[in-house]
Amino acid sequence: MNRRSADAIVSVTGHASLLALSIVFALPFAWLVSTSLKPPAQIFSSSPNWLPSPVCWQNYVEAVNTIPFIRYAWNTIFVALTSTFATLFSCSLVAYGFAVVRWRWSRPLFLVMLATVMLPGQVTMIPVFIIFKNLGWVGSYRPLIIPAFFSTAFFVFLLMQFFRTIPRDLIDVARIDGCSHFDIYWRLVLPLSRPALMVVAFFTFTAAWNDFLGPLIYLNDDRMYTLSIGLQQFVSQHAAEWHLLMAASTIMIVPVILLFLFMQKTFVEGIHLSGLKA
Amino acid sequence: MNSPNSTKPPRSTNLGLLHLNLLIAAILISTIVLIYWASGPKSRTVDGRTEISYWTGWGGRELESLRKLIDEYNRSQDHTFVRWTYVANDYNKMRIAFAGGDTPDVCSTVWADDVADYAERNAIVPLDPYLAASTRSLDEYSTPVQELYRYNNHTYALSTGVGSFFIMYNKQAFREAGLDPERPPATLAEFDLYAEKLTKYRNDNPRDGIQVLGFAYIGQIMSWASVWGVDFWDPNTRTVLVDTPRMVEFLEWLKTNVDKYGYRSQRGFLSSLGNTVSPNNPFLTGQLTMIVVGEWYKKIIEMYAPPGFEWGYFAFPAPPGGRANATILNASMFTIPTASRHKQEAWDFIAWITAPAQTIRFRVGPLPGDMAAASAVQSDPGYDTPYWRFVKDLVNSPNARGIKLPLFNKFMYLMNQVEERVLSGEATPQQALTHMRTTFQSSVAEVFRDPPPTTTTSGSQGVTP
Amino acid sequence: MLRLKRQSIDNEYLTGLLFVGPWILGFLLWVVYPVGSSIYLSLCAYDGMRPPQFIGLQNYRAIFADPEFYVSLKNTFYIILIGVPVSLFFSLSLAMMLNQRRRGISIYRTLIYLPCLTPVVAMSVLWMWLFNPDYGLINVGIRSFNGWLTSLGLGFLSLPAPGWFSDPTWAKPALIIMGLWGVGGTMLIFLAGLQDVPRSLHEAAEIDGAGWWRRQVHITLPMLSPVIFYNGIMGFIGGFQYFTQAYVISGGGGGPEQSTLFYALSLFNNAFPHWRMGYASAQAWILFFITLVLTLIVFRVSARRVYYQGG
Repeated sequence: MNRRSADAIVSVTGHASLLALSIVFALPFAWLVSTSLKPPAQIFSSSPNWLPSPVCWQNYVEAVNTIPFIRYAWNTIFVALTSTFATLFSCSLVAYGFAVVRWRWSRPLFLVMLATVMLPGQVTMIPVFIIFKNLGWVGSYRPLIIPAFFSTAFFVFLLMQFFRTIPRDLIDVARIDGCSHFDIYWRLVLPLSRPALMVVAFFTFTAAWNDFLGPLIYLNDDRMYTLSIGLQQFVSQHAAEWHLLMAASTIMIVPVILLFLFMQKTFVEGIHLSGLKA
Repeated sequence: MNSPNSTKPPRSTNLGLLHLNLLIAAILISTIVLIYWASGPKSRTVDGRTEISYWTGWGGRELESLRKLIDEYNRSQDHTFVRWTYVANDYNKMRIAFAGGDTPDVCSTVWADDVADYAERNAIVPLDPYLAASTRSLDEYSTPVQELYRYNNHTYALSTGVGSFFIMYNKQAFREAGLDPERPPATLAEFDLYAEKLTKYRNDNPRDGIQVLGFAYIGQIMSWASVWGVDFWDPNTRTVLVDTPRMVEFLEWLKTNVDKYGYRSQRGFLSSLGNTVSPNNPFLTGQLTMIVVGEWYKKIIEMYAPPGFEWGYFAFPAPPGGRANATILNASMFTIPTASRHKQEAWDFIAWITAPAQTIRFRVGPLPGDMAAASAVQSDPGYDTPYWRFVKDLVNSPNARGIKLPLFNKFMYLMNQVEERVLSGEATPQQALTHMRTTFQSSVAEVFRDPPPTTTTSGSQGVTP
Repeated sequence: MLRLKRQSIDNEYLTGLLFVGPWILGFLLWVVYPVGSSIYLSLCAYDGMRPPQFIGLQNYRAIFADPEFYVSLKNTFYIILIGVPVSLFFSLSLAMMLNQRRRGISIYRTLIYLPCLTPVVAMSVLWMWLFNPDYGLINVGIRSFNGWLTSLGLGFLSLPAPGWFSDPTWAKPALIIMGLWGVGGTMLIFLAGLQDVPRSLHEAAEIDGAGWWRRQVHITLPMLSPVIFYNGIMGFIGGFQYFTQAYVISGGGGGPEQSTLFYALSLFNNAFPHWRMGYASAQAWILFFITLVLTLIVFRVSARRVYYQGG
């Protein structure tokens, strides 16, 4: 077999296997949506029937009525948006301080920050819980949001990588022109870093949207739940009511996927430019 | 907006920028303040009354009638305003809330078997002084129910209802298996035999999996152990009592019966079943013929049973030397957390809501769905049916008791582990129990901060000062 | 320019401090103080309600005497030693397949990436249903596949249709399979790395007569080693944080038969529902030492094997 025909085979099998793989990856979603629209009587059947008959939109109504998923969605959006804002604000400031401003302790402090990434979250989890308890913040959204104002090492690092690609001369010229660092940060660096900021925003937003441990230990009032904890409670109360569980899961999944599809272009660009890959 | 321009003198540019920067900074800071304010604890309205926060774990229709009662209470007097909050009554969630100090003034989200743990750590307060000063009295309740409320000679809780466990069976399935539907099994040996007769396999071949399970022995270790006559905890010596020959005997019986159907395949079968509170309820679909239920199960049947569904009930059959008519009592307990800022108001609310007049409206209604705790309410005509008479007898049986031991959560966790290890064949009953005892004793040691109680009055109905 | 630099180093001390200020405050509040108090708590009996009581090294002794500690470590290492390599291999293979110029390739990429956006709680719920022993898509599929094999007289090739999350031998493999579905993030990072491998290298090798497979082994993999290393470290750290899936699927208990009792879950259970915060703090410190030692080993081993482009 010569190389050319081998390549052709690779190409054809490649296409076929890509198609097969995509189908395999899409199947769970199809099963999710299919189950979420089935009448309860059709759930427990030992042969897979993909098409619900009749189509039960009622499941979504019931899921939203038994548990206030709309309210949970608003709560989640509130937490996700505010912590995204906080993360963007604090991380870009700190990244600027490390990457652009030249000062004596910059390097050693940066190394300390990198080292904290290796500290398992479990080590600080209990004392931080006690801090919030003593502040009287347990039972509010503050433990989920306020820490974001103090920056996250990983995102600071990511933004620094990006800030460093901005030509130094540009910044020095602005300095000589008499611009303060805040001017440069706000008018030069931030606008130039839009793709990287979008990546950070997307990651923070989805992380807050998905967060489970935080709401689990800090939120007690049912009316304040986020989607993750609401869905988990729904599972414990409606175990095995798969049509409802799937409807509720769909409600939780769809917004993130839509968000991704809307910002896909910026996102991919940002991933590539920010050097996240290494 | 004036952008930086090289033709302008730098000074004025900077001044313009400075103003703009101040504006930006002001906006940023006010956003932060806004977020801080909006994410804080919910603000409370003040209308001159003392407001107390109350956490309930009741949902659905029960929450509806509870809400009506609370509204009535709020209207009936002008001193206290009760603000209720629904807290999903997840076992873990409530304990996390206590650890976080996020507790209300009064709550009914504590299960009876958790009271000992909360009490031992001073997380809830004794109600005796309030009880003594009020018109309410423990004498309104039968002895087993009174015992449920008490720990270490103090009363820590009151409740409106009391829950118990027993077995329900499908009469049609009995008939099909050639058993008399009007005569439930009388002895444990008979029960095991029935369970075997009622089990069916796919294609009549055990290899193809279970189709109908006569009885699921898995996951009922506490109920069965108490039927076998096992005690769990000795408060005087503060030792766990499960490491006994009787417990070994019980576990061997359990394993023999589970092995008949295969432990793993039973678990797979059980994990496939539909939700209890739905038309796919496995008892109503005929997948389980006999099941362990609480008295509230009647409601489920009335809601979801297919037409013509016939059912019966009986208490756990006891082995020779075991306890007849035994059941584990449980209830949603009205308690006052130590951190409560308005304990007297909290008590007033408890005294009102658990009083017979309210219990009748809350638990009994036109058709009772639960068993009321107070003896007076138990003799309500609504309970004068064969089913409710059976439940009443069970609840007041001398072998009905609640579980009272500190660190019950860990205890349950370890007991489930004992069951799993024995049934999977990973350990012999003796090994599993020895391990359970050592682990539990070392965990429970840190709960106690004072010496063991003197052995005089424990277990009796102490009189409040 | 040089003068400006020196001048600014002296003058911008305060500016730098101001910009980095949020992190310094956060570091003191959420790292320094908690680490210190966590060390103290690990030497105490503390239930979160009564004041902590100093008990010396008792928590550490109790942990090492508790079989649950070893079970949770074993489960965690299962995920790290089997789950992480499997998912690295899988995501790298996916990335290689998707690293082609082909009509519609971005649609394939998006489709394969999307599942990783599924929130973990929702993903766990979905897979509990997919893995349902009797009615789940997977076992129903396996059964009909087996039926088809049997009709062909190949019944001996039948696949097992186990209880998955209800069967202790299959619960962890099921979790790993579920993880493979959400491998898109890792795949994307590999893809970005692959696109940085210079085409010229591949073309030169092709002229020298190297086939597709040899080019991957001798060019792509070495060039990609930093990315593999990064993803490996991320997976390794993630393995020790493995919590939400296990909590949702086992309802917090880590069952069946402790097969999904991972280290983070055991720690959580002790800290919050069991009110043993001192004990859990000690568990956290043991975890810290384990990760520290393992990280040092991994870095030492990889120093010799990872190739960095341009030094």
